[in-house]
Amino acid sequence: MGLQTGAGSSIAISIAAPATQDIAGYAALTYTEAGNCEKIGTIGATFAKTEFQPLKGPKQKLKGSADYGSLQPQFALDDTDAGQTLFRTAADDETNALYSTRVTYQSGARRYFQGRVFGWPETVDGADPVMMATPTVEICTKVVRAPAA
Amino acid sequence: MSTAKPEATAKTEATPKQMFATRDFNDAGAEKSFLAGKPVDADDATLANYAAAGLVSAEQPKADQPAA
Repeated sequence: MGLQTGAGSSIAISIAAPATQDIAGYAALTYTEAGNCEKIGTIGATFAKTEFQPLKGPKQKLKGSADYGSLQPQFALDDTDAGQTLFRTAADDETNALYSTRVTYQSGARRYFQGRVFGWPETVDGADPVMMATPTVEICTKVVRAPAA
Repeated sequence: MSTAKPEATAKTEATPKQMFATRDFNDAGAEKSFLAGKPVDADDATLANYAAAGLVSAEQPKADQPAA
């Protein structure tokens, strides 16, 4: 499969931790998908840029510390949805417990990681728009990429 | 040898087989709906997720218990 759109993609969460930080470890877990998802967000690490300008020669650029990133899925608020409720539970969790997350793309490729959910803000934006929830999921482990089957 | 403590993970307590829905809810991925007070038929790992979310309980609602 070549290009793809976001249609059909999904995000799911699990309270269980993978035995190993690889495809097999994450694939063995059972996830609960969050319904009514409009957007998932950006997945992937970035690195701080460290620069050094010697008196002679070009500027040198080094990769600094990694930030595994964060994503901000957007959900149409649905209190009857099990996945959304579990995301909210993760947001309300005052410990530093990690929750496992699985994002499935249209192609069937998957992205796995563990993270913490920093809040569950709910937006009432006027009479017509659907009420939305926009949690921030901070990614705390390397993202494991599983290709489409 | 590392003596660092492993990072905390979410609770993964074992869940009993028979669990009951604490309220009406839907599982979008499994495309299943559950009614409050009724038994929830799912595997242990799924029940653990539901239990963490407060959607199921091992306690059978009183109204559904058979008469003594």
